[in-house]
Amino acid sequence: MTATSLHSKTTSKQTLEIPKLARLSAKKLTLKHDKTSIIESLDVSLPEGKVTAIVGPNGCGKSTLLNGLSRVHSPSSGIVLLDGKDIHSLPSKEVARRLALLPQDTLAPDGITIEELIRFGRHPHQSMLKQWAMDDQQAINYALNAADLDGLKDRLLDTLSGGQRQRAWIAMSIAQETPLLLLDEPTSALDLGHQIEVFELIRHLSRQGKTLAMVVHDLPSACQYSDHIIAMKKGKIITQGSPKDVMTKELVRELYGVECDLIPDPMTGSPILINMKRIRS
Amino acid sequence: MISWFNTPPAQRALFSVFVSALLVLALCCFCSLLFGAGGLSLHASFQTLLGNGSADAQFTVFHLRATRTLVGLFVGLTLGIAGALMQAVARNPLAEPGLLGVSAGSSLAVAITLALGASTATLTVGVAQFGALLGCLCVLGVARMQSQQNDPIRLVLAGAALSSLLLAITSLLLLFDQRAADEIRFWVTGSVAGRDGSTLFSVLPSMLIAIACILYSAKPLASLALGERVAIGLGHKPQRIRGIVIVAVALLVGGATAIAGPVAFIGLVVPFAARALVGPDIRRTLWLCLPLGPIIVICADVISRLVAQPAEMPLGVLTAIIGAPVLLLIVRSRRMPTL
Repeated sequence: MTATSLHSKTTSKQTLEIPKLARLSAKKLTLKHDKTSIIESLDVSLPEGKVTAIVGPNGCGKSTLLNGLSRVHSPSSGIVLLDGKDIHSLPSKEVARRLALLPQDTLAPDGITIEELIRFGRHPHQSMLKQWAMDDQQAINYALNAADLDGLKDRLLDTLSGGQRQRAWIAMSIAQETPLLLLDEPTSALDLGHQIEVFELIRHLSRQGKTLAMVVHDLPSACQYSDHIIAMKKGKIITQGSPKDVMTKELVRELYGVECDLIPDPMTGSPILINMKRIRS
Repeated sequence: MISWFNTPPAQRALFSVFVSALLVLALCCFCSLLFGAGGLSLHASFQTLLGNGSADAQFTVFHLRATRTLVGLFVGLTLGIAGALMQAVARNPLAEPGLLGVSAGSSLAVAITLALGASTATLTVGVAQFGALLGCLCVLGVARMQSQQNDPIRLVLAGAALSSLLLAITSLLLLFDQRAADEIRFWVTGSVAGRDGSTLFSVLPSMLIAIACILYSAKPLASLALGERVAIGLGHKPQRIRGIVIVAVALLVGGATAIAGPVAFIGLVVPFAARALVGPDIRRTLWLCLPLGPIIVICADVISRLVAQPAEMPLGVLTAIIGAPVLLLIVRSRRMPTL
């Protein structure tokens, strides 16, 4: 190797650059489980550089939509576009360098350490010939740092708290160095403290320039930690927009059959739900 | 520059364990050449190894026992690796080629070709491998049918049922064909003794294919342990990976079965021990299975020569005696290890 190429290689890898923003959208997307359609002819696009929360009642197709957007679920008709190209026509590895996915109910083998888990995030950047390189180690250190797991890298995943464990999984997708990150219920099964821990990490990633989309069950958290809300019911998008604009009594009633009042959070101004009552229909 | 101190602790641990295992393996091979059920004394065997043996002794040590050791080496290697691969694909610590009907499928394929007029001498390894592939597909098909909830015990039950069925058909075939019965009865017990060393050469090409399959699929296979969707998210193609791994398993088990007959439990015990030593990552497990499989098979073989002197206990019997308690241990453990 010549001196110049060596030099250019080392300098180009000095800073961890997240690639340019990627655009993810769907056109006339229809997703089916067996023969029943969950989502029919849906148009959606994720606003760049923002946190999008997908909310809605159980079974409304939130997770299915996320799976469709992340090419885990193939569409029956319609198309998912990543940077203007059909996501299913792109090589899977190429997609994995632009879009990371954190499914719900992740399960790791016993005896895996945090660093080992995060290393998996480098798979899309490796090949048979390029097994492990300096930039891989850098990305891992960066991910450990971003997820605040610096001192814990050799700890076993199953010895951690729920919040730390979820941060470790998110760190894996950080190491993937994608401009897009999709998370399916990242805070379900976590207690309040751990939920906030994870939401704050998501906020932090958004400030770094990532485009994020997450399925969230808890409406107040969705309002507080997202810039854009997509409200779904029965496989259709009812409304979308910024939390302040979208979140109304009427929407809560329509989505969940719950009567409530909304007041602005005195600190952040994001809507808070009070006086909640289930309406019998 | 990657130095020893920069490598992750898990890899350092793997390296030390791997090297120790290699030393133990060398010792086992040495013992395998020394000990025997025959009239040759330990002293005479040792002298023969040093080059001062009679012609008879030389034949025993360098031909009979050396072949036997090589066969043991091969069988341990292939079955250990096949077990580890199968457990990773099924995400089930109990998935074992011998228990799940892969070996039985292989046996049946051999029995059918023998019944159709082939002789053991002309029998191709490919037949055994093809049978193993069919057995693999049957079992994993059953495993798939039980939906997402992968219940390890149910997979083993399905495998046991399939195994018995295939063995019953094999017995039935032998009942009708006396010539094939004589040829196969010796083979079907599973042993590394009295096997034809030259068969080893005919297996080698398919082993190269198996190695290529494993090299290609080891890393994606490791990611499958994190779940289907995570693996897809990382840019892997789970279906394709599973297909490739199953081909590798069939080649390995078929190869081993063609040479030594069906030997159960090796594919269970070896990966179990490997995981206990170096953790669950399939790549590390595979590395350690390389020396560990032969160690266990050769040890078992040496013991089988010694316990029932002057007769010998068939290897398959002994591996079952070692393997069954391990199976019970895994099943009885408070929580089934997740893979």
